[in-house]
Amino acid sequence: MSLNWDKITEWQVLLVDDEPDNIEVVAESLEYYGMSVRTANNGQQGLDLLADWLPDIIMLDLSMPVMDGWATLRHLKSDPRTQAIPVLALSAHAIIGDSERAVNAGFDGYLTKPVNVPTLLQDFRSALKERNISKI
Amino acid sequence: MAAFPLSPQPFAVVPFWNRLRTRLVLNFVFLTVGSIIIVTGITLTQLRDQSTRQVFSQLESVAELKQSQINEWLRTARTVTNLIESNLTHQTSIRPLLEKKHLSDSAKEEINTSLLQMTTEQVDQVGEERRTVDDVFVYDVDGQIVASSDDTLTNRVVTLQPYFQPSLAGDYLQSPYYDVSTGNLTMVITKSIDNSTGKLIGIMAAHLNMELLSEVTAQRSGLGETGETYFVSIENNYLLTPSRFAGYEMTRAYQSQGINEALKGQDGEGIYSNYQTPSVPVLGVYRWVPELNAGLMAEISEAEAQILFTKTSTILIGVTILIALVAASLGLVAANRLSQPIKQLTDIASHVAQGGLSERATMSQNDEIGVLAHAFNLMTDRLTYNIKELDTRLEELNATNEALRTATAKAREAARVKGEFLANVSHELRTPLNAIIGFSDMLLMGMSGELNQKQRHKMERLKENGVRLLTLINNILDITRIESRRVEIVNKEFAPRALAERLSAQMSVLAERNHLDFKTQIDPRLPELLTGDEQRLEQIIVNLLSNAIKFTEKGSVTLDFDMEADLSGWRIVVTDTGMGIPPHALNVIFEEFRQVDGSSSRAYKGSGLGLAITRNLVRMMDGFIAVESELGQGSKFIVTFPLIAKQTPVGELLEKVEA
Repeated sequence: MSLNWDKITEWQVLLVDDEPDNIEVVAESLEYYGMSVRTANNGQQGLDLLADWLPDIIMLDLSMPVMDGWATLRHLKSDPRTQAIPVLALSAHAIIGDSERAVNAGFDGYLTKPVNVPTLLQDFRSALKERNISKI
Repeated sequence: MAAFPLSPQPFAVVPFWNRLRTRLVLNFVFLTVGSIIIVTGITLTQLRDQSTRQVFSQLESVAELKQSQINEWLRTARTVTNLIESNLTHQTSIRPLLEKKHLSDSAKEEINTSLLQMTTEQVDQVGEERRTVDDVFVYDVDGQIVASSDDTLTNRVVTLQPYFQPSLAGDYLQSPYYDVSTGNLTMVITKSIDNSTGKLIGIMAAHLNMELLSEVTAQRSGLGETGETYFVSIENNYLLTPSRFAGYEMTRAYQSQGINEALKGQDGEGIYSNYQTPSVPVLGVYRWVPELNAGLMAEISEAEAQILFTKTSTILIGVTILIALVAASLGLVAANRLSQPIKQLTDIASHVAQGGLSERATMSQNDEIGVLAHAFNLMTDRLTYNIKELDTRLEELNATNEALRTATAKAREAARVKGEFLANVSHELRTPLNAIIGFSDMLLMGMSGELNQKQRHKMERLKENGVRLLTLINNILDITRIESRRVEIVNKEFAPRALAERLSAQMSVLAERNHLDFKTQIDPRLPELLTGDEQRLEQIIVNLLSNAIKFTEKGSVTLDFDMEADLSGWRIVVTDTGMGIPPHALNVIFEEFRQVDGSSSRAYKGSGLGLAITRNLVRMMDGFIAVESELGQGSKFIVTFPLIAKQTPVGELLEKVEA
């Protein structure tokens, strides 16, 4: 998987979160930076969307009804179609130990809510970069 | 609860010899019988010695008496002989006869008659007519008898008789001997007859009456049943007087210790075998009697001599045995009386030891054992009471424990519920706050149109307050998790320099915004790699640096990584030039919800949880945190961690540093 950082405005993003307000903030911010975003309210809905569509990056809220972030990640990483897509965890708070848990579980990066809209792209990039660095 | 260890047979059977009863009886018997035996033994020994001495002295006096009687007899014999000789030489013509002058038959007859008359007219000491001399005869120097009181002797020749030669030399006493011509035991006294010029012309001799000798020994007064006195001649060890034993022979050689000693010329006494029946020991006194050339023995059988001793000792031994039996029976009774209650008490004690606490001793004696039984009962009562008391206490304790367990479980459950509740509430609080902050950001970025100055200011205030509230909630969540131990420390190797550089880059931005100098110093002795939980360390350092920047208006904030003086640990030191902490507050700043005072709380916004979280994290990592501060001068927070094994040894570090 390789993300083209120069063509960030062409990225397609799947955002899964059960909070409508949060979806609105994140989706609108990403769209503000030029990305196209599709949203789902839980992991199952997100997986359903992937049936005929593959995004460049997926953002998963960790705590959701029906199917939470952890379960969704396991599905994504066990499916060869979606295996290679980078997945970022979204968590309400960098609860001590959570970020590490997330990385250990197989997430490619970790963002803390509230997302900082002005620095969203940098955060995005450093989350993935850190992951990449740690992968080496 | 462990059972009290009781073997199936808690009280071993006492072996017979160790039993109280056996020992008591033995002691009793030993004490009584032993003393009696000792006394009896001493008495009997004394008695035996004394009776032996007594018998010997009795025998001694008998022997003395016999000897004096013999001497008396011999003196009488001599006197009689002298008298007859004197009469003979004065009144008769014995000299002419001896000088070979022819005498008429009637003259010769007259001499013989005179001799016979003198012999028969002997009178003994007490005036009784009694012959000391059997017969008297006169022989010439050639040994031919020329005159005699006994006609049958006349004209016999005595040259072969043992007394003949000695009689030529002077008056002579012939000790007892057997006369070959008559075969009789006899003794002879000779008397020289001289002529007017003093020349020996003949010898008058007298046969002594040997019955008198036998009479002397036959008198057995003071000698009891078996006592006897007898003479044994040195000639062939023949008897001179009759023996008390039937079937004795006069002319048989008899031997015994007494006989042999006496015949050697020794006087003495002793206990030795009898001459006739050697199996019968006798007590004997013996002495040499030179006149008779014989030994005199006075003897009595030991059995008779000791008869008193034997009887006495038999009685004493009988009494001793009787006393022993009585003592044993008495001892047995006493021992039974002593040991029976003890055995009973032991049985009861055994029952009690096996848990039969209802058993009681029923003895009602007035002695020590009664007291013991009473004490035992008291003890058992006390034991029963105490056990009941203990049971009650145990039940109470169990109830208390149960209550405590329930309470603890409840408390734990409550704590868990509280933590969960806090976590949930925090989550629920955060979600709207996140939205508020997010929307504020969007508005501030002009996503929904540009804001004017006033609107922007208000929106910034709105966001800032939201962020503050969010931080507060996050801290509450953190401390809750730490306190409920839901945070794990994962120790791994990390590079402290890289950590310091990263944090320095991150925090210097914040410091610059507040117009502060930010410095980072790293001790060259610090190992390249340390072991610890890097993420937690980062949180600790960020907390301390955030506080330092927040509470410092001007000057600098410094982050130091250094080594302890003795190199046993490493330290994170955060120094600022801020307002400092008043001394009274130094102790409380690490407690939850504390800041120095209300005013600073207002001036420097914070939940007051940062340092509490920091201290908790430091402790969880086996370190400790300390603070030094001077009001108005600044503060210094020092976090010390031990060097964990696997880290580069300090020795190598020093070498590296020196290199």
